[in-house]
Amino acid sequence: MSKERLLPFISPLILLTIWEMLARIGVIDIRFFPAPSEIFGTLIKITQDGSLLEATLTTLRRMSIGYVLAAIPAVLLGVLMGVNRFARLLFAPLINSLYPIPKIALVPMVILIFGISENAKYAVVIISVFFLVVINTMAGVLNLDPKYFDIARNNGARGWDLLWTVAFPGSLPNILTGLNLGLGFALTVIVGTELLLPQGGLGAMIWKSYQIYDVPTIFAALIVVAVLGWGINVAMEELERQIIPWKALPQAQAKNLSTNAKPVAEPRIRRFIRIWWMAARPFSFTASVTPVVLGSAIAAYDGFFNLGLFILTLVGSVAIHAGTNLINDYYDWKKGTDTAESLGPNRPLKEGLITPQQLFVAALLTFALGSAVGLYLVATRGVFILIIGVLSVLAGWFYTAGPFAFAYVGLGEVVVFIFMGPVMVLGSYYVMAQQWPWRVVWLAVPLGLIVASILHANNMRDYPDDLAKGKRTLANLLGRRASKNEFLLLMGGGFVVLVLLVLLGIAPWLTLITLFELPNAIKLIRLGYATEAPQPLNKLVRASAASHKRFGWLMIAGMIAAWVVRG
Amino acid sequence: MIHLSQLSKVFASSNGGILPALGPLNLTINAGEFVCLVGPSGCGKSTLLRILAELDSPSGGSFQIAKNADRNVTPTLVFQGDSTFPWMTVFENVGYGLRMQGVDSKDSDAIVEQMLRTVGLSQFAESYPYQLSGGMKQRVALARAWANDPAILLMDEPFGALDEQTRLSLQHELLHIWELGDTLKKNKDQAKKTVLFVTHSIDEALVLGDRVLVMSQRPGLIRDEISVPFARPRDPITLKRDPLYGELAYRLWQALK
Repeated sequence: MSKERLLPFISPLILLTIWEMLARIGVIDIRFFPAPSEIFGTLIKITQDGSLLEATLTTLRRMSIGYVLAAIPAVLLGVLMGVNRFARLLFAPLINSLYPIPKIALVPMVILIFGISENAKYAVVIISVFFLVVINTMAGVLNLDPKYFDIARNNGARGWDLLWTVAFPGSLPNILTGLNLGLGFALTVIVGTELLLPQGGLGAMIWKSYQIYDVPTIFAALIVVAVLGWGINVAMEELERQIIPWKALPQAQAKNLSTNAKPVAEPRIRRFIRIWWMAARPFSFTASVTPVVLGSAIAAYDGFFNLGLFILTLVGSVAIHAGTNLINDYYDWKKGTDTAESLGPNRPLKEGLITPQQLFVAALLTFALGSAVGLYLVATRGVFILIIGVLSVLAGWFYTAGPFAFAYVGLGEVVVFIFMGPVMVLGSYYVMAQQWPWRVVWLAVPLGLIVASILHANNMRDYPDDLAKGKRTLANLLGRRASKNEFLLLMGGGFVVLVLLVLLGIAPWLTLITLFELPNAIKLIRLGYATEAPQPLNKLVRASAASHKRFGWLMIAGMIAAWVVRG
Repeated sequence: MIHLSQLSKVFASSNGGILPALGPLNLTINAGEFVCLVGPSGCGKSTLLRILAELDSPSGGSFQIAKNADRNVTPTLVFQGDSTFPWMTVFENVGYGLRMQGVDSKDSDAIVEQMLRTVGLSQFAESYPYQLSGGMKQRVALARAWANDPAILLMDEPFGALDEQTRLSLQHELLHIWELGDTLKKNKDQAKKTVLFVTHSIDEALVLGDRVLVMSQRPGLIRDEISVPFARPRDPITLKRDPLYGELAYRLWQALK
């Protein structure tokens, strides 16, 4: 079993080792097959001098602009051809005859028309993606079981209803498959085009390295192309999971069918990782990962991106967060508040998979890792990090401790807003950019408002309990009615502020993709107004957290897209 | 109430001729009556239901159907096999008809919640169909049909694909919902819905129906009619001990021969 798991890693490792040895003892010609260690060295070198990042961004920019320009009309035309026979008969011959042409063969024609320009590159991508997506979308609509249209009609659906409630959602899985294929194809085609028109980009990097016989750089660029292709695939699959929650994933289905079937024997390392992963409560990490990634994305947009610093910041903040979770659980266990019958957080501890002592040691180790990373950043990137770090620790400490515990005097939302929003975003921005412009603080406000809305939903749920215990939260200080308005202010405010920032030119317009989350947020706000019962309010807490996660990632995606498009 | 007079349907055959599929049929089903229709495959049972559900039009003759007084809903058809939309949650599936008919979302949410409680799926409101068993999906379809609150309900072998045990419990449940009467409790005079239920199973027809109609081979004509006098509420299992049950089953088999 564990052998089988190792196999996929063994074969590439063996290949690399043999390759390395053969290159070193001179059996293979290192002019054509440089040693893996040399390729790796080249990869590091061109990463540090920035040429690799620039080439990658150029390729990504061409790919994504061409892709978006092609994909949107292609989906619309595909749906139209799927539902409308007239449109299908009209366009199908054109699409079917142009689709099989190898798109790279069109490059000379495109150059004749557009000249040697950026437009020529977009055009090749557009032509390649368009037909693929149209055909997949149309097939998706046509393959939909006609029964669904009958059911919809019988239930009173007419005209557009059929399109929006049946044709479109029903064919969405196929549409996304087409979009996924299209994006992979766009990468292939743009790299190919850059070989023919070598003006920047990864393809040009490969071509120019070939001309000067710089083989290690060719390999390094190829590795990046491969990683991009893989990353695109992974990202699209995750997107698919988010957009199509109704699709039975093979995994989920298997879980459903055999709830009692357990793996025979879990390998020890995997078991170790799984248990501690569970103990650290990774679902809560979003709250600290999102602001760090957002701060880094803003820094990238401003031209300060640095992969090493990014990884360090991320590792440091996640370690501190995990340590906090572990130590909280340890003290909860000691105080006995988290007894077996409560829904309390730490499952492995409760199930006896780990002992309290192990938990304590783990918390210390995680803190040590976090502090080491933090101190390194302070030493190399400046005292400002230290100030932010100390303030955060103090805020965390006085959150529930001391005579003036923020959480008990109705300041919880304010503290969470400040620290999980502007402070963390600004801190991670500062690590890369070494400055703290107010603009970054403004950009963090929407995220801060929405993270505060999670806590507020929590306090709305615990309203009667907190009142009884004498814990004063903003919710029970304001009263039921006003606390509902407060939720609207926090959740809705996030979106309003973001739109204002875009209008003022502070946020790039691409961050408006966060508005995809708006309908969901409106649903939550309405739920907040509609109910005072603990059960639906519990749902509100969880849904707000999910909403914060999506809002954060959409905002990050918008910043990164703006960075890539600007180049 | 359903009234058919000389209703018929013909299809064009592949060699250019016409293929009589159904009728001509003359039939009256009273308001609040539960009528089962049995007959060999391909006798036009499903075609008849599709015509009554306004998904198909008759080739000749005419039919009249009573409609829901305040919302004018066409008869709701419960389809063969799984008829849930995979991309909607259970809650959205059950509320679909109400939404399409423009019912206010507050009202429709209340109706959907009530229906989910009735069929025992409240806990699965936010689940997607792929997470449900076959029987649960049929419960969703039943709940959706009832939520629409049509005066007439058409059912096309809804339990055909289920295993025997699930089938029995769903028959029981269907009878229970039907006997509860009008979904919204608005129309006191129209306590129970008129049901036309197509099935392959003679057992199912006897358990459910007030009357069983036997159809002939294509083109479908009504060949025989048996009234089922068992008292309601019925229990699908104890019913089978009644000596009359065996007698009626025997007569139906004879009629089908």
